[in-house]
Amino acid sequence: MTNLEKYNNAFCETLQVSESELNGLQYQGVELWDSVGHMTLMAALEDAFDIMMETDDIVDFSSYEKGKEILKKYDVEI
Amino acid sequence: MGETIHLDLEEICDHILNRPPLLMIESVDVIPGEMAKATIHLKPDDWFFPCHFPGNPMMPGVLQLESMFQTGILTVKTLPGMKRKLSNISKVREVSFMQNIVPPCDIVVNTKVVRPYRRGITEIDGIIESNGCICSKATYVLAIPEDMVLMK
Repeated sequence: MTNLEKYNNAFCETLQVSESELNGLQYQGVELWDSVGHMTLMAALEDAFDIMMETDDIVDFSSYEKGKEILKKYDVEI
Repeated sequence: MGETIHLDLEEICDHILNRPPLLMIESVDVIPGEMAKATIHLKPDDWFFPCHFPGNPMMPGVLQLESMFQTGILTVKTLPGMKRKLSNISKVREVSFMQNIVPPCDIVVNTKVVRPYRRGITEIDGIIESNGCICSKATYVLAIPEDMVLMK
């Protein structure tokens, strides 16, 4: 599975969205991306990429696109 | 699978803040982080039966859910360092009530962690059975705000 597939899977499974909805998706943009959903998404991404994100990065992780930038810090290229 | 620990009433009260009459459980077997199981002995004079309903007692669905919540939270509260942390129910989904629970009877509340505790969140499946029959089921999310990261 490619990194993009892992990344998209985490979003789709956690937030119950389809891939077509991912571009432009933002925190609180769908019902399940609330504070609880956000922590679940972070845990899913950490598991998928075997990383542990810093608190500031979790707070800054505000969109599908922003997340890709943040993961670069952890040597994850999407 | 981890080691099973048994909690009596005093130990339960040391882990969760619920108190009678809303404390539904008196003894629980727990594998921290994995599962918890409680047996509840229901009697016709338990406080909720005379009013739900007069002449036709049955255990309210909300108290069945509360029994699952209280049992399941112990899977997290028995993890190292978690005993004193406050917890909330964040989501409840896929709730089914299949059979009335009529006293006197014993019910078994089985809870199983389906999403391990991470980042302040855990997801649990709960099921209540009586006399070998499934009475109710629910999947729910428990949150420990202290362990979550607050978004801007």
